[in-house]
Amino acid sequence: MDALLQAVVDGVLVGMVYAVVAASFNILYRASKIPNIAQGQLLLVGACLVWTLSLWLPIWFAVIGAMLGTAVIGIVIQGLIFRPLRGQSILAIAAATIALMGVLRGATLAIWGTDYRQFPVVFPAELIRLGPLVINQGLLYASASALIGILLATLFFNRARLGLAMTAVAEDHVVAASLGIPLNISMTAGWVGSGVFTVLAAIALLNGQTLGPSVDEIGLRALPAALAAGLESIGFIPVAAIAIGLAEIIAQRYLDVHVGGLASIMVPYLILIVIVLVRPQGLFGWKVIERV
Amino acid sequence: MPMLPSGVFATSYATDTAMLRTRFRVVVLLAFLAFLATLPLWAPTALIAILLVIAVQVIAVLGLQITYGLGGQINLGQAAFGGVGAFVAASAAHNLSLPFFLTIPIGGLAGAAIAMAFAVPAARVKGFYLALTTLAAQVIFTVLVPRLPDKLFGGFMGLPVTSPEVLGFRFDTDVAFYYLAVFVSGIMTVLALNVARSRLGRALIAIRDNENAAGIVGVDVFRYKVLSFGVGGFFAGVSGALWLYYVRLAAVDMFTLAQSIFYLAMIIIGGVGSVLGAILGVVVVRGIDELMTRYGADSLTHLLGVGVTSGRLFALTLVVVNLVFLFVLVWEPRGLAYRWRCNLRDYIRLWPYPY
Repeated sequence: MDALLQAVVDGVLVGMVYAVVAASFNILYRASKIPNIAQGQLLLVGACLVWTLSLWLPIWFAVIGAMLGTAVIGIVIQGLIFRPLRGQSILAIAAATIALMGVLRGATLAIWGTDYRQFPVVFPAELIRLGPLVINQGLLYASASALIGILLATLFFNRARLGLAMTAVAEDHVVAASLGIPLNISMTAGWVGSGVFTVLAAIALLNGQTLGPSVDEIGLRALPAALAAGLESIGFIPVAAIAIGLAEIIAQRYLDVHVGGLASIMVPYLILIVIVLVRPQGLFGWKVIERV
Repeated sequence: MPMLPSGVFATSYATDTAMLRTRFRVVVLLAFLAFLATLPLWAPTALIAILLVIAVQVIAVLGLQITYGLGGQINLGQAAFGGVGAFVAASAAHNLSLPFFLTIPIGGLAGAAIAMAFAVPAARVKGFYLALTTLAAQVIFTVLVPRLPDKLFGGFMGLPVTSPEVLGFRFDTDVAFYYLAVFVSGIMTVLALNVARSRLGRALIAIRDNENAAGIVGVDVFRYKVLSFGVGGFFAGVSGALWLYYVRLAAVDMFTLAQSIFYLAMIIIGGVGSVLGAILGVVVVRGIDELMTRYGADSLTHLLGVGVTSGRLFALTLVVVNLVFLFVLVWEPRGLAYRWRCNLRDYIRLWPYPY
């Protein structure tokens, strides 16, 4: 019983890590219609920025600096790549994010190398013992701040005038532009919001742990969470992400021993295939009806 | 659309559907083949080794050209499908001791089967979602294959094979393998050219241009989408199996996501939807890669004053190739093949007249 309860707690916390990464993905999509597959690589850049800045600055300034840095990188990417691609087919935009994957990963490895580093402790990392349960304290704080961020983003996109205008960009670039919504500003705002969430995701994932060159895998592992919630949905990400986190932890505790650690690695990707097969628009995304 | 020079008219269906419609093209093709055949006689072996890699990768990129270029279906798992071909071919050679001219097609069929299996969920959706299932295929491949039974697929160590051999002749040197690779590559190029003008190719172009409209005029969208992955996967499998016989070891780290991205970069740089574009793209990307490996370390050390490790050099190659990819995507979306066909070639043909 305790083991199961512990699995549930761990699953929720793992799910929350996915939720923050997925939120950074969906915020960008909701403001710009860019399905940024390179989100994991952006996270790697953000994490390396936090690490570098924390060598000279107090940790909170380092975090804010990294958020600014990631936002600036996003603005540059928008200006150089996605501004000229406004209104282009989703095929071209997706191909551009795929290329971005290589550029960001290559640039990070060229600058920071392939060494393993100790990521600074942003939130206290000690474990809390609650009766028989062990809870990762840092992940708890990170989850709480992520939930607040996701709530604010949801309110912004669903209530605020500007947010609703930006939502139109996710629907259709050409229609949004013809309605007088400044595409470039909306897309740039998406990159800034996404950059801030990316750094938060890096902290949730790496707080006090090892920062290595394969950290960017999280971008792919978190994709099912973004997809399960629906790419246009931000508020429901935690629900979908926690479900996937639970599935992964349960697979890890009960199946991995039989298949040599394979189950927990594969679960997110299998879920991804099932979602695309059964309900590609996700639980709360928009079902697009097309006409010729 | 490439135009024929004025004065060339088809007077029968045979000449209208011929692949080489003018005598000049026959001459050019024969000259090119003669050039490829005599190259090992005078070119340095290093160049032969590079061309051999190009010939092998052209096959995979031609497959991607059918899936992505003709059908408009993003495929981020082309390297993985090639890997499936390589491992199945290795397994067939290792366990059943089949000769290479059987294992390479078997590898191709295996690549096709896996590609179609992953295309089934993707075929109901489009654009970005498609990229996701093939991405999942790529990740699952690298994770799953080393953990499969050692006896069948070699596990983490990989699976060794011997050099291909036919009638007592072994393709164990670079030059010998160069001929084999160019030969297979040539067959696959003709195949790809024919796919583009067959019913399949035309259906795929219709789907790429407007899926709903294609469905309304009677194209079975689901079937042709899955089929486009099947044909693309076959090409990938053949390429992977051929590559296996060159390196003589099936290992997962030759079929990574980075390689899949490189394949996509080759398509975009060369030109979407054209066989010539596939070849040009491979040549350009391989060229960048080779130049970086050969001269990058020295010139960067010279420039920066510090030594550059091979890991950093690979990272920089990744950056350069993908920057070219992005540049072409944004500023030259029709790729090099279009520039060649519609600017350079016509310029040469019409010179000294401007039009």
